[in-house]
Amino acid sequence: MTVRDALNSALDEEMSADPKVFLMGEEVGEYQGAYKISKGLLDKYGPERVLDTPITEAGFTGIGVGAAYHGLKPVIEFMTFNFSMQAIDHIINSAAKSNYMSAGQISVPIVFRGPNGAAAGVGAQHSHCYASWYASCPGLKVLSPYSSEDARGLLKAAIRDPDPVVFLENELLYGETFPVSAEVLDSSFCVPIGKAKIEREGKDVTITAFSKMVGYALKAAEILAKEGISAEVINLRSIRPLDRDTINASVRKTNRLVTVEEGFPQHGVGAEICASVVEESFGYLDAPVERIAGADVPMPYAANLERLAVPQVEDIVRAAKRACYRSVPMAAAA
Amino acid sequence: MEIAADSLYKAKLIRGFCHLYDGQEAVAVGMEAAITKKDSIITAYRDHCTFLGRGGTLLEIFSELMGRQGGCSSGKGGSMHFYKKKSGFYGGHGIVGAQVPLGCGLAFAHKYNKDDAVAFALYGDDGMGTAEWRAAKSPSYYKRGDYVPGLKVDGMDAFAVKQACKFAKEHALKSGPIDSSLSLRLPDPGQSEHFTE
Repeated sequence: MTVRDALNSALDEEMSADPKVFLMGEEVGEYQGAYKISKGLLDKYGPERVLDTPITEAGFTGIGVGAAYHGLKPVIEFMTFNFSMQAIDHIINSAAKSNYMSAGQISVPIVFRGPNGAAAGVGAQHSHCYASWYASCPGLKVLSPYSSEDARGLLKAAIRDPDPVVFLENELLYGETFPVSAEVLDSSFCVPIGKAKIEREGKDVTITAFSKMVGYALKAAEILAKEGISAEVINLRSIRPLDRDTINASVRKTNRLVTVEEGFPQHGVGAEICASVVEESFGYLDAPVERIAGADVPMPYAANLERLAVPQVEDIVRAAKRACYRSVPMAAAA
Repeated sequence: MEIAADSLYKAKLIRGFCHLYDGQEAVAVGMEAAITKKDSIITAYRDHCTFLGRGGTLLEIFSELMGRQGGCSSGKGGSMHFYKKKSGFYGGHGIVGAQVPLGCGLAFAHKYNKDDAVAFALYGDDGMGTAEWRAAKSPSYYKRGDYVPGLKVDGMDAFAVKQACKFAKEHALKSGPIDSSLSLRLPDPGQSEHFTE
């Protein structure tokens, strides 16, 4: 099943099960979705539940949060999360903080979803990763699927969740196919929020990743295996809450950690994971934590520069080797 | 130029986004004829001909589109991010509508500096397949706002555009902002280009 079909079927099933669920965003209806994620939904559920909006993120996000205050369950689609910055006040101040500020009276069962991070050749304003931005905010849940199983299970969980969820997809993964079991295809299938998945077991070094980088980490693990390094790959699935238990248990087993993300390095997801491991498992670390992230520059357009600005499989392999003292340590502030 | 860019895009020699200006040339040409390089222009992502009008060269354009160092943004910006500050062209913006308040800021600077120049902020319907009726509440853009007067212009006629821009510049220098709606007849019916200054 492709990730696209996984998301589409999850939306379809949740809209079918609960009449309070509705979808709103640019091109989600008549155009069948900017990336065809909502294909067929307008025909099936009608214009009262699948709403095309003008290009005004601040407007329709605010409308969605207001509807959620009143008990509806909106799924707000951003054509990319770059455009969510137009609406970030509503995501943070109107949605994330309301439950706390109202001492629990107002719950905001809303999902904000769309593609996040780098695509291909779309330049600086269309390639930003917002995982660490949203994950720093209490009151939000932040999820990022990799496989079709993740996409289906996490989106269903997000829609059913009573709190605001930021659901970070990846444009380049939409067309990828993953095997799915019968259990995953069942309409009641759900993946728990806050639980990471160990995609590949290993004993020499832990590699954490989310979204597209999980695929890269798995490829790196294959290469490392040939060189006698057994890497354990953890698919975070949930950026907030972060599954610190699974990560720490893994590091206590392998004693070495490489964090991988596509976004900018400073204050990134890897920085938080490193802090968590230092706080809880310092005595178990046999090497400094290695952090692989996107380059600290706005995303360049030229193909060769873009390739250098985004982590590649070789970068993950090199970092894992450094953590295992198999290669020369990198100079600081490279 | 734009037809060539289209072919290059289809051949995947231009990556990412490529928003073409062909069919709307009268807007860039007419506008340039009415103003000077001291006036500022800012637009959205459909900026190839605007850049050309401001003095950009074909080499800079094609180099940028193909991600080469010789491009006007050294290959780092791509189709949507052409700039030529020396000639008063401030980009080239990817986020829909962002250039409008930025254009107001440019105008503010002109007024603050008392330099007898104006800023043109251009914005369109934002096609991308978003039909006009889905993209905006009221397509009579030139009637927008009780505070800002408006002009309706035939955007296919370069001379009409020139006269409109000349009038708009004089009005802006004397009395304040003016919104002009330029109608275009393009293969996708219902699109039009607007500018405020």
